[in-house]
Parts: sequence; C-alpha cells; structure tokens
Amino acid sequence: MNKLHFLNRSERHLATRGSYVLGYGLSLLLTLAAFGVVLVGGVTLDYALPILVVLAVAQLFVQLLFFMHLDRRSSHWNAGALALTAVILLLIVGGTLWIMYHLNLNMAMDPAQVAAYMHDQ
Amino acid sequence: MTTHPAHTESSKHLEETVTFGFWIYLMSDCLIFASLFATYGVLHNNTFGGPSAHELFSLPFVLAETLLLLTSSFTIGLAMLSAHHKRAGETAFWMGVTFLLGVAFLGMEISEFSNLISEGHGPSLSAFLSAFFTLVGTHGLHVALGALWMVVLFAQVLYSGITAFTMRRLLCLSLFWHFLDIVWIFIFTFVYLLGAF
Repeated sequence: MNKLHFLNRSERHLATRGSYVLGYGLSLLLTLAAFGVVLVGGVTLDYALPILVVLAVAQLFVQLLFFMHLDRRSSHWNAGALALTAVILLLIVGGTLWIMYHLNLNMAMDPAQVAAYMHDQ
Repeated sequence: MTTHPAHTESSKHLEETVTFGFWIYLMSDCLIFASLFATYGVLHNNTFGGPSAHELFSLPFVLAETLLLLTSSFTIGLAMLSAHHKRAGETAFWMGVTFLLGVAFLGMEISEFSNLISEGHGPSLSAFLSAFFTLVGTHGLHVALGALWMVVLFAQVLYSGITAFTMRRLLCLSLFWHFLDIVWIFIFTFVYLLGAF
C-alpha cells in the first residue's frame, strides 16, 4: 500500500491539526480581505472584479489543499476528475455568458419597446 | 481484538473506492452549481423594474453567514482528526459543534429569504430573484441535508464508535461539508460582493 489515496488520511496522518488551523486562518484572511474590498469602498467594479475573483480562487485552493488534502500524494483519478470538472465548468459558465451576452446585444430592445411589444400581443 | 491483515487491506480498498465514488458525485454536483451560476450570471440584471442586488442584500449579514459556514468547515476537520485517533466521544462533540454552526447558518438564510418574501421580493418578482433563490436555495438545501446526515452519523458514532463503517461515512460527510463551503465562497463573491456594485 505505497500509493496513498488522498482522501484516505488514516494511515500517515496526512491531515494534522496544523493543516486545518493554517487552512482556517488563511480562509479567514481571504474572506475578510474580500469583504474589506467592498465594505471599505472607493473601489470601482473594474478593479474589484479581478481582485475578488483572485481572492475566491485563492480560497478555493487553500481549502482544497488544507481541508480536503488534495496534494502531490493524491490519487491521479481524483485530480483527473477535478480537472475534467473544471474544464466542463468553464465551458458551461464561460460559454453561457459569452453566448447570452452577444444574444442580448443582437436582440437589443429597450424596456419601453419590450412593453409595447408585450402590449400588442 | 486483533484484526486480520487481509481484512484491513480489503477494508482500506473499500474505503478508497467509496470515497472516490463520492468524489465523482461531488464533481457532478459541482456541475449543477455551475449551471445555476451561469443562469444567475445571465439573469442578474433582469430585475423587471424590481429591486436589484445592491438594494436587497446586507453585506455584514452575509459576512456573519460566511464566518459560520467557514468555522463549521474547520470543526468538521477537527471531528475527522479525532476520528483518526479513534476518539468517538471527541468526534461526536465536534460533529455537534459543526451541526450547530450549520443550523445557525441555515437559520440566517431562512430569515433572509422570509424577509425578502414578506417585503414582496419573492422568487416570482423577477428573473433576477428567481435565479437568486434557485442558486442560494439549492446550496441551502444541500446544507440542510448535510445537517440531517450529521445527526444520523452522530448517533451511529455514539452507538458503534469509530469503525470501518462509520469512518467511511465520516470521510464522505466531511468531503460533502467542505465542498459546500467551497460553493459558498463563490456565492458570496459573485452574488453578494459583486452584487453590491
């Protein structure tokens, strides 16, 4: 049993109290930073969007690493399933937003036009 | 009582298989949330003359919800540590703490939802609110089912201690609970924080 499954933490104590405390501390910092950016204010959406996305993705990795223990000792199958999910997820979310944004541009009607159209039907 | 080595080996193998299967379930659940996030992303401006995100949500309230759920993700980790050391009582204690934090989170979410609905801002008011209630409500439903699972497993841990059975179930529940906290990171970022602009 040399090859350890990453979710099977019982043999070599891959999970320690230290890893949970560190993960919790880092997650707290990243959460407070994200709320701080918005609550303190003075930041426009153009700057806030990339900052908040980076903070969220950083917290995703912190929790995958320190809470779920996805690391180098992980099984390739788990990492592979996660990678495939990430690709499908980006296709679903990115593809939907891309298509619907352009659909909205091509079908642009202002609310008054929509109301008039609905009234005529 | 000594355990036969072959038995330990096969029980380890079963644990790996079960947690991998559960991991595949989590990945498919992740895609459900991806679809709901995509829907919310498309519809979040379609307020149909009703209120938009920044008029409805209170960020300090959401921060409190976030801290409750994040702390519960930490305490289920402490429950797993206790389980690895075969301390059933300690495991049950941390599961109890996790359960209470989860229920407190749910209580806040239910009060947020009922306030919105009683002010006439229910899911039927606009496409934005339909998408909001579906996305955040689906996450809340997961937390509620996780809390129910926690109660059942709490009783099993108290009754039979840390065995190969309860350990497998604990591993799956802890993964489920961490997964829900990760989904919440993206809810508070994309729905609440970016909704404030």
